[in-house]
Amino acid sequence: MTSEFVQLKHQMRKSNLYHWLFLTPCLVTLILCAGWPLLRTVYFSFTDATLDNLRGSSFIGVENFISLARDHDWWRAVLNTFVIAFVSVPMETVLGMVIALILHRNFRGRGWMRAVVLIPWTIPTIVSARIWAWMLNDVYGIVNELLLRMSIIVAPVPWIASSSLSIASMIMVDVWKTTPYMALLLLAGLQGLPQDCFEAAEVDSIPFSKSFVKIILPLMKPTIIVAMIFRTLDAVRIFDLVYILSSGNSANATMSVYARKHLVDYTDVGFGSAAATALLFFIAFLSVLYVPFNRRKMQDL
Amino acid sequence: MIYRRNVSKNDFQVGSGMKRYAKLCGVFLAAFCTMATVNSSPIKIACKAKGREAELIEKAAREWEKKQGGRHKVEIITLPRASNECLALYLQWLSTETFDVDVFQVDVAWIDMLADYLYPLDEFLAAGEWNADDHFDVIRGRIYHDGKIIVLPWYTDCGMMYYRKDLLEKYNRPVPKSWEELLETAMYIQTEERKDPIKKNRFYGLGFPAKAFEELTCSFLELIDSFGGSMMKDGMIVINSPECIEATKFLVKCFGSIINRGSVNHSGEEVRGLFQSGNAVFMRNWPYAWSLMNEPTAEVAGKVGVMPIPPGGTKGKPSGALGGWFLAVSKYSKHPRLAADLVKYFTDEAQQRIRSEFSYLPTRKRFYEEANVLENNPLLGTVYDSLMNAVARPSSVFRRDYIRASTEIFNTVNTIITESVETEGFSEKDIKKYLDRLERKLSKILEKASVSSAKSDAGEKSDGLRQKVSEFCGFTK
Repeated sequence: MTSEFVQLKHQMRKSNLYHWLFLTPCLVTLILCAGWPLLRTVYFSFTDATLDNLRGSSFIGVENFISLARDHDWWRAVLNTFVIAFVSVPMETVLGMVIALILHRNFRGRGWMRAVVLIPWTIPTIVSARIWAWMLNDVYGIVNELLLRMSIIVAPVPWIASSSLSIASMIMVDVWKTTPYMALLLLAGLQGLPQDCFEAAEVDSIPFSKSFVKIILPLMKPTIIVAMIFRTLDAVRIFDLVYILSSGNSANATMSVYARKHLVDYTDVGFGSAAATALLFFIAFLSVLYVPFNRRKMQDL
Repeated sequence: MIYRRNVSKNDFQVGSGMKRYAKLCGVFLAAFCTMATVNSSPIKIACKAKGREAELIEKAAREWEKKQGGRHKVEIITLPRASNECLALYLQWLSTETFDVDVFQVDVAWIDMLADYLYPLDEFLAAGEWNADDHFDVIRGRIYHDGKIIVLPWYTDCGMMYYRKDLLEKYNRPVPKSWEELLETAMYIQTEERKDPIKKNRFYGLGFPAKAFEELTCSFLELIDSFGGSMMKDGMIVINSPECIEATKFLVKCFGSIINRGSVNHSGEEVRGLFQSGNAVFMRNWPYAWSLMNEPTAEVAGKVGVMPIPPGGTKGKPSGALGGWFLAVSKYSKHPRLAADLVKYFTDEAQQRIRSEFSYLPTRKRFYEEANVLENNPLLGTVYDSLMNAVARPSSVFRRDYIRASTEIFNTVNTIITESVETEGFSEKDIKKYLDRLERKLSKILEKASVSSAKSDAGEKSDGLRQKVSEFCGFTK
């Protein structure tokens, strides 16, 4: 008995060693590719580094963060970011759920349809943002042309030029682009659900609306929450879409556009890094929110 | 026995393999060495080589190679379209100190920022061969740093006003002599042209790029200049002076009538699209648009006229923002002599003559004074007038912080325009409020810029803590 126990312990230690052995390359890559730049950015946020003088920078404490907190444009960028994230993510979730439910059913050409739906998500954002910028152009954009011909509007609408509409346009393009991703996540969740519940519902001839609310939603809750949190973390970092579609005015910037502007355009690496670090802080804060959700999910299961 | 023989044969084979390997290495090494001597690392030139210009540069580069007897190659590195991104790229390259681009294209506004990284060119310019006095005064004034020539002028840019000759004729209107006349004419033609149902929703009096970018700073500074205002006076920011307010008020008025609202997100290229497809009477743009609009396939070919930015208000004068591109040699270049030779070749008279046909405007006064040149190219005549009145951007004042200052300017102007078309009752008071705020911000940046330049003049003092922190984190060399 004891000898068996020792053997087991030995084996466990050995397998533990193997675990580490296999994990090492991954960890080293992660530290080099993510950890080091991250630490460097955090370090720079406490210095007055500039793009052409990274080495000769001096340590200035939290000065960058103080001026960041005092900058009106920064808070505007924070607000813009959260408006985009908190409007687009729920819309993507609802639309994604609808698409996922459709794609979950059996119909002819389902495989083909599943591939087609993913197209917006597979186009690089910079390309689709450019295409949308052309389509939304007020003078020769196709969106205005179509709406004019259908007499829905009487004069061309400056979709990406007016301050109120440009944020709405960005949200629209973001929803168009990321709904497929949401649908994909939710479809995976749907496929993992136990089929017997649905069969039982079918046998009892329960209408779809009822089975959706009573069966699908409760079972899908963990998946939906995880997907929404992932998307929110992703949406808070939004950059390329805003960079291409907005007029460049600081009033329409998001946090990462703001950070880039200071880092690259103003060559102020210290201050730009402070903005990037603050963005990291926001993301970390959202991730912390995720933990209790996750715990509840485990209890639910 | 057989086994043994096999072994010995094997041994032999290994030996010969080794020898063969060594031989192969030798051949490669020799080939590499000859390649290195014949084809010593190419001279790299970073420039905005796109479309037509790319062909011109490519051709010039090949000619230079031939002139060098084929011993040196030129490699062209294409820069991003947006100017501010080029500058950021340069600063990143240069900060590594292993910058292996030899020659680069420099905007007139960056010279002060990049001066420390540029190789002085005086030693390569033999007396009589290159003459600074050949060039326009506004351009010649920018090529020196601490008394040394650091850049050579390549081509110049100047903000100008394009107009549709055929439309002015059709409605029997003269070419406007002032902003007020321009507004009146544009308004009239816009109303008339819009009677055509196809043009109803897409015809505008004036194309004006107002995207929040460097271009807007240029067009705003030339606008206030044309109204007799100025951004700075005696070292003070006076961007909220009555002339500046009047100019801004005029711009806001234009946005309510002859400029399309969407222009707040249009750069020069989008505005050219509007004008070139025949949907505007006037357009503010750079000279490059001229040759593109006169291509046989263009809808407006032969129907376009050009003039300096007209004067406005009571104290106005014609104007135009000075742009312009220079070529410079990097301080870190391994072949400064060759690089300087390439720069000289690219910027010499013959090249400027070829490029002038494609509306990359020469910087030498002589071209504009030749009678036949002006006849063949009406653009040059206008540019001559514009360059005499050109307004420079305040880059030499703000130095390193110029981009920041420029951003404040274009952000403010973009905001004023956006708000004026979107909010009811936007008045002169609001304009004044924004310009006052801009004045405060610019003064602050100016103050900071002068402090930091004084600091850098005093020499770098390394303080102990900073050194320690840097060493600890491994950021020192």
